[in-house]
Amino acid sequence: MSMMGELNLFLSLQIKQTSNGTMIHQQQYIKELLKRFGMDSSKPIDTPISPLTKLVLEDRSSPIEEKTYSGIIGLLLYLTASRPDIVFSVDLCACFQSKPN
Amino acid sequence: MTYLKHTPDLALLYLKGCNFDLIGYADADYAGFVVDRKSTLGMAHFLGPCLVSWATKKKHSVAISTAEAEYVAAASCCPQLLRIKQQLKDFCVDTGCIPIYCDNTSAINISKNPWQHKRTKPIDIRRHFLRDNVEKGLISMNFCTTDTQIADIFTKALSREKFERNRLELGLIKTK
Repeated sequence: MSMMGELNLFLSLQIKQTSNGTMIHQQQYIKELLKRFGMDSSKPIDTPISPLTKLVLEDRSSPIEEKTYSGIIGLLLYLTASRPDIVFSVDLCACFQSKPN
Repeated sequence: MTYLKHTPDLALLYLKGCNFDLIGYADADYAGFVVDRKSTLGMAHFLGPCLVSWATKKKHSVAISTAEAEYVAAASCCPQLLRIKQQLKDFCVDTGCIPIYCDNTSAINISKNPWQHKRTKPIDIRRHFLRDNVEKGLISMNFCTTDTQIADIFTKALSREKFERNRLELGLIKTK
C-alpha cells in the first residue's frame, strides 16, 4: 500500500481535516445534481418539506416519467450519507415511486 | 431540491478528542403516513457529540397507540446500539449502560413493567427484545421532552425554527 497524502475526496464525499476535527460534506455532488436537473436557477427555500404537506396516492393527468423520478430518488439517497436533515423528505418521496405525479 | 440549493455547504462535524458516550434517540410519528396510516420511526445514535448513525423507517404494521409506536421505535434503535457497543468493545472502549432517549413516558414504562396490559397486546414478541436488554442492564430508557428530542427531524416535517435548531443539534454546520 502506498501513502497518497491526506484524504480529501472519497466516493464523492469531501473530507476536510482541521485542527479541531473532521468535516464531511458533499458540496460538489450537490452542485452537479442541481446542474444536471437544471435547477441551478431556482429559488432557494429554507426547509426541505413544509409541515402542511401531505402526500397521497392519486391518479392525475400530469404523470412524470417513473424512471427519472426513481433516478432522482437514488441520487438523493446517496446524498443522505452526509446529510441527515433530508433523510425524512427523501424517504417520504421514495414511498411514491410508482405512477409519480 | 431547491432546499439543497439554499444549503449546499452544510457539513457533518466530527470533533477531535471527545468522549465515547454512546447515546440513542428514538422517536415515532404516530399514523403520520396518510395513505395507509402507518407510523414513521426515526432514530439517531451519537458517540459523544458526534452523530454516527441515523435512520428513518416506515413501520410494517399499523400501530394502535402512540405508546406502541414509540416503543417499537426504541426497540428498533436497540440492535444498532448493541452493535456499536460490541464494536467499541473490540477497540477496548467500554460504554457501560447505553441510554435511549424517548419522549413518551408510557413507552418507557412498558420497557420496565413485565406485565402485559391493554396497550401492549398488539406488540410483537420480538419487540420485547428491548425489555429483555433493559432487564439485563445493557440499555436504559430515559425521558426527554419533545423539544430536546433530536430524532424528531427523522419522523416528521418541521417548521423552520425547529428544523434549523434540530439540524444544528445533529452536528450539521455551515462550512463557510
